[in-house]
Amino acid sequence: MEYLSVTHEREGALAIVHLRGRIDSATASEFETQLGTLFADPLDALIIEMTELDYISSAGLRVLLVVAKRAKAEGRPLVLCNLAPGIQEVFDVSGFTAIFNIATTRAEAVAHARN
Amino acid sequence: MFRSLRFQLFAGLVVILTGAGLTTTVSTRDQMREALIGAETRAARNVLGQIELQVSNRYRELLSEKLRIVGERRSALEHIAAVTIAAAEAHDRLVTGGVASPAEARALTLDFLNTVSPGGSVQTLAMTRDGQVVAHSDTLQRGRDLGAQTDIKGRPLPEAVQEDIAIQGQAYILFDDSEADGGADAIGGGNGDGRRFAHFRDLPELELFIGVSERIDDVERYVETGVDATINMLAETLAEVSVVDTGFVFILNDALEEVTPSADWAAPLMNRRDPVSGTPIPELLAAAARDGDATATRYALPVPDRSIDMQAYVSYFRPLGWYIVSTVPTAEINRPANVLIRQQSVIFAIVLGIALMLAALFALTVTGPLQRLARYARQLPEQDFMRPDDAHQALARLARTRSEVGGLAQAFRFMEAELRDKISAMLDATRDKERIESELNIARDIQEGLLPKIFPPYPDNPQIDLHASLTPARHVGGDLFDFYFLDENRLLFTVGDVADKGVPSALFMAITKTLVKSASGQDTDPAKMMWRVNEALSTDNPRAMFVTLFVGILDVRTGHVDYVNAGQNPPILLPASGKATLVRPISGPPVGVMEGVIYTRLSLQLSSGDSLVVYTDGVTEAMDEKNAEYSTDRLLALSQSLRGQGASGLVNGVLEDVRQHSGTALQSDDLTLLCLTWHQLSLKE
Repeated sequence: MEYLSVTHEREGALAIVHLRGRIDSATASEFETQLGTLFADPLDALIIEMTELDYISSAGLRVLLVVAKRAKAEGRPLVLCNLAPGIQEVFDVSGFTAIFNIATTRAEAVAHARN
Repeated sequence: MFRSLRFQLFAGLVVILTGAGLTTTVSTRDQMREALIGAETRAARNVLGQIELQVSNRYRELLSEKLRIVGERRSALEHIAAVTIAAAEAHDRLVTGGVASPAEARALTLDFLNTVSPGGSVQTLAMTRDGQVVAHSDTLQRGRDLGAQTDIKGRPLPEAVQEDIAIQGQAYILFDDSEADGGADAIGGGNGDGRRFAHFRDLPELELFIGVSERIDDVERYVETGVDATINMLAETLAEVSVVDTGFVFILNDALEEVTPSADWAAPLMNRRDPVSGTPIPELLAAAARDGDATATRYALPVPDRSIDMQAYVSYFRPLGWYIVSTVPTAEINRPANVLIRQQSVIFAIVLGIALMLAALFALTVTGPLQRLARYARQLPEQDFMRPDDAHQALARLARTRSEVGGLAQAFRFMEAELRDKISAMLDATRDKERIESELNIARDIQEGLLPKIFPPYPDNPQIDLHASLTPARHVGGDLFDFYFLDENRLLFTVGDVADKGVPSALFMAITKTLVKSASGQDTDPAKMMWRVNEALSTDNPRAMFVTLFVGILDVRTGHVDYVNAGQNPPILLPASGKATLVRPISGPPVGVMEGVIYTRLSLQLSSGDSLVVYTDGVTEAMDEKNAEYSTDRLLALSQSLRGQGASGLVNGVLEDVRQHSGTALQSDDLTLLCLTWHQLSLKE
């Protein structure tokens, strides 16, 4: 089954994106589109909360990379938080932990982003 | 057939037309019959009425004639009486004049009465107050005693005269004088009726009554003659009168005898009885008159070979005692109605026949277009949708009609045009798809060409047992593997996994493989190679395509492996004996993520008979229908159990197991496995 739900909320100039489901080659483009529209608004920082993310494939990682590069280019921090153990392992094994800002909790992420 | 609109339309029209026609016919038939029969009946009655009128008029004429004659006769009698009285007075004057004596005057008067001959049956007389006849024009009756004579009312003659003269000054007396009237009157005829009508005046001086009388049978006979003449005339008339056709009018008298004759063909009716009631027919007819003629009297007339049903209308003319009968065979009364009804039925049948034909024609005409449309629709699939539509004139014509059929035809055309377009587009798309498929197949071939295909690759080299397999999820894949000797002692082997899959990944796969090959020609340190590859891939990479890559260099003399793991799944170290373990250390992030990454060179030492299994996540993340992953643990366990089967045995065994695990689930990622077993050459060999 393929499904992905991308919701977001604003905390001031902070955008917090909540992911639920799976990001694989079927849902990756949807993910990319949704994140793209977010960037159209003026943001100070972007936090992606991955508590309910069950799975992420290389396609999903690629999209995250694109987002990270764009955020970096625009000088806005991107912080990932609340990674489930399986997802954390994927990041660890693939060496992406070194690439992304990863926080354990949402609060930590917000704090990190505000700096 | 019964479902077809054509038949239903036709049947519906048939039912409606027939129903309407029959209803009209049946409902009017009775009225028509009544009307026509009524007309004929009225005609029969009218004839009767006419005849009755004629008879009545004629009778009235006769009566008034009789009255006139009676009046005349009376006048005549009065005249003679007046003359006689004048004579008597003249004679009387003679007495007063002294010319004659009273006896002489009386004798003169009596003589006058004796000798005057009034003619015909007129008689003059003089009688005393008690009825002695002292003078009479008929010599035989002189001296007669009229005292015994009574008048018609039964009064003695002298008294009657006395009475009437006393009241009115004169008397009119009717009396029967049959006895006295012998054969003297030739005119009178001397037959049965001796009644006389007498006019009496008083001669007081002579104390006598003078009377003048006449036989009345003349007048009576006159009337009789008149009636006879009437009868003859009627007989002639009635012989010409026909009721309807063979019906006729005739007259019966009180005695039920024919006054005028019935028609020749119906003559037996006078003698026959009506079979139903048993009554003689003339009696039946007479009874009809008594009952009033509101409805016709029916009877059956037996003629020689059959019995005719007859109808009769009878009226009774009281003055003459005549039954006037208008009678006609019932069949003739009914015939016009029956003829008309038969005609009407024929016309109805003909018109119905024509109407049915027209209805059939109509049904055909109306449903014709529908049939054409249906036929057209059936032919639709046969068409070549690639060609532009230029046929179907008939359809175009149909579409122009204003009715619902036209609307339907237009809908058809629209549908066909849409079909044409869609199918055309679909065929184009299919063509494109096929072209893309074939291109993809070509790309697949090309990609396969990029990969080492020959296994075992070094059959003559006992140190190396290497097997690898790559199964793309789609036509072309994003995984790669490669191996080649850098020099006579060092074997480079590499496994990589481009992010995502499909054509973009395949392109990147080709680039990466080439980069690795090229970098391996420039450097001996795999970390440096990785750096080179990363630098190349990270620049101009807007889509952030990255590759997880493992590059290992095995020194076949020593079993030492220098390796760099950039994000690839940890390879499995399968010792010749003992547990299989994962080689966890990584050198850095996947290549292509960002520039400037320095990778760490790692190394491990193989013992003889050890194997390294390098794989992509397509193996460990292969999913079954319930989305359960194959898992690294299972791979570890299986690898261990496949130890000793050789590199190809292990690779194929794993692939088979993964296939089993996946079951019916589609392959979601590229599957890549490389197994390398190293055997140390013994110094002896």
